[in-house]
Amino acid sequence: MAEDDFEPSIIAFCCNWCGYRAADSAGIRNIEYPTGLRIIRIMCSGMIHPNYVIDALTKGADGVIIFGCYREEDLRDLGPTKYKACHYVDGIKKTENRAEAIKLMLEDFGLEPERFRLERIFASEGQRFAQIVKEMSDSLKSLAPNPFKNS
Amino acid sequence: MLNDKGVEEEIKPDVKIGVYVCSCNGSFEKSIDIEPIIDHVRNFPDVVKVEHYKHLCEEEELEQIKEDIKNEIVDRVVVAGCTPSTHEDIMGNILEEAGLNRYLYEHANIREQCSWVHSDMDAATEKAMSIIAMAIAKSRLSEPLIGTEIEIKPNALVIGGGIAGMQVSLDLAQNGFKSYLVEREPELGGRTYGLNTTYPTSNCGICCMHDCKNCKLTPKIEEFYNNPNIEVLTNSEVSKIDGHIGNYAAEVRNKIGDLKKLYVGTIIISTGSKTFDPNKLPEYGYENEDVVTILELEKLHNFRRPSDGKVPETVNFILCVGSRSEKSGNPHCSLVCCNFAIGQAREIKELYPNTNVYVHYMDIRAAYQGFEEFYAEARDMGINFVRGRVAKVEKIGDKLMVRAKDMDMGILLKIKSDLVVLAVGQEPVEGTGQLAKMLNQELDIEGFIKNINPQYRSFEDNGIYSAGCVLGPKGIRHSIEDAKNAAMNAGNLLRKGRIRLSPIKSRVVDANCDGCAYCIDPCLYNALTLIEYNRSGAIKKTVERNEGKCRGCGVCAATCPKKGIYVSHYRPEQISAMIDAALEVA
Ligand code: SF4
Ligand code: SF4
Repeated sequence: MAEDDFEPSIIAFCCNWCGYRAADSAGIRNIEYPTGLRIIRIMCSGMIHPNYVIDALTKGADGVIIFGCYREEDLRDLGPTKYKACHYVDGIKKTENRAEAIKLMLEDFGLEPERFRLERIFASEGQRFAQIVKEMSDSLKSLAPNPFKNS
Repeated sequence: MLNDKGVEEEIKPDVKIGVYVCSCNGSFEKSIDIEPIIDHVRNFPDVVKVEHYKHLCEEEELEQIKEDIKNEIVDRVVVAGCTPSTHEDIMGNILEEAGLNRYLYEHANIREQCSWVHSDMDAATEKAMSIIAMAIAKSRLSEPLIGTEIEIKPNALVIGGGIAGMQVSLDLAQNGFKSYLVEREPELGGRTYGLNTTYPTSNCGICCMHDCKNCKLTPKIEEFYNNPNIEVLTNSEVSKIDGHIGNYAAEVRNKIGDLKKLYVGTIIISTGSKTFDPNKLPEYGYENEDVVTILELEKLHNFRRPSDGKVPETVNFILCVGSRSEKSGNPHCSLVCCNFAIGQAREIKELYPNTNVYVHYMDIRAAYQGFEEFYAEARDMGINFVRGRVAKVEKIGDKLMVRAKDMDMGILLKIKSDLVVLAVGQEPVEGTGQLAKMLNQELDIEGFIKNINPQYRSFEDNGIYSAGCVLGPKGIRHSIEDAKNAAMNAGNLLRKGRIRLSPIKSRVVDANCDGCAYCIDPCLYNALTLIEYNRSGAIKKTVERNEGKCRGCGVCAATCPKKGIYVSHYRPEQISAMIDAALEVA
């Protein structure tokens, strides 16, 4: 496959309230992003066991991204008009602690840190959703192929 | 798949999946090619039916799905089309109407998340196939789920006895439901109790429960204490709450330490707000006796000066004290202070036509019926409205010097004044945070109970509603509206008597769980407890999940290192199967 044609495969775990709806909102506005994205809807980003991330990467996904809600303290910076929709008090904080563990696990598996991302997003941020996916896709293109692919 | 006993069980291959591909009135045939998708999906071994529909939203086409279910052609449904955010519930209902469990429905979002975001037809078509394959992979492993039915205790706990809480109790009582109204002060009525007049009606108003000079028999309060459906607990605070929708246990303690235990089906939070403390803004000279807040002005007999009882010759009102500025208090508009202050200014002017009345304002917010007219009249009455900030209030002799900017005239004013009135805003009242924590309610960034968007609320009701200023600054009429709304929601719940919980909850796999308890603390809803039981003579530790408290967030499942707990409908096998399907090259 020529370098140019390479379309990185990205598994996105999207929480039902913010991440998934942000993707919908990109859709409603017809904002294009790379076709390699595959979305798995879950109730809360706090539901994602590190094993799922490792599972996806070792099965050959080029990258994994988790989209969850904003935290209380982000709102303080973003302003009160931003509507936080996290349904589970602060499930996102649990996800964040876990993301640290996931990063360490990537190292153990010899995988580059760029292959995993955690992003906080509002349901209304379709533009940002598309942009993040594009950025991640681009950065994955510059990596060597996932060593677990086709193995 | 692991069953509850942790035994590997083969998933029965005899599922009959129906895949209904909808092209949304043909709208996404421009960007994805439906026919190859249909051919591709047909090859899946457990897909018994796949069909292209132009507009599944239409009754006849939905009827087709129902027919297929009723005729036992399909026993699982995948709809490829628009987003489940809008259509999942609708489709769930269709399945149920046809006699199939709603959790045997799976969506493939090929509209918002595919056709609408990709213009390369080949790539989009391929992606749509993959999205459908993921949905089929999940559907294959999905199981019928039914939530447990629980009883709703037929009464309510109302926390906070201001007008909002009183209205909730009254409305509930009218519908035949008992409520306990807990108020920490000795009197009911909250802030409204101390008001002489409400505006713009300028009468003893909507609630008629003021401390009116000639009326000791204030009707609403009387009505209240005599209502057999309302039990008033004044001088009392809620010290502990445990439980879940339909069944909350609350401990209420009064000032002399008596403890009362209440068991209720629903809880309404109506603890109100407090007014801003003007000591935080020393420039307004609140330490002077003749600088008062709008609420203190209500207590002054005929608006005479507190220091010497004289009729004031000049009065200055300062609006937005503690509101609309992050630097000096709070970023929000407190909504009621403009109109309240204007009403008081008018009363002073009516009583003492020779008194000069100034109102210093940034903008006048006179929204809602009658208020703009009320304000315009005040101008006509000769009240001076000065746009600009007050810089300083100082005591000079027995007078107060008000230094203010008049932005319209572009000048600085120095006004010798007898009385200064501060239109203080509203803030969260002490204890809101603790109460929110106790009841798992979220706060907004200012510390009010977060007003939950009803769209999100529909997800799973916890039987807790809020009303009045605890949700943010508000006047009487909006507090009453809130209260009616909350009473209606609570009443609807109580009327049902029984409800079915959502079945999307964590489930413990006893065989895998070794009782390490890692999952217990991370659960934000205290839904898990460690238990021990006797298994064939040996002590076995495991966790027990409280079905009412669990919200199905899955934090426990992601914490457990031993596959000891999972969330139904989002089982690890399902997620893993979706990952496999996503990575399969079509
Ligand atoms: S973390 Fe897992 S093994 Fe430990 S107690 Fe919880 S369910 Fe059981
Ligand atoms: S799913 Fe969430 S609420 Fe339920 S037990 Fe697990 S962590 Fe607690």
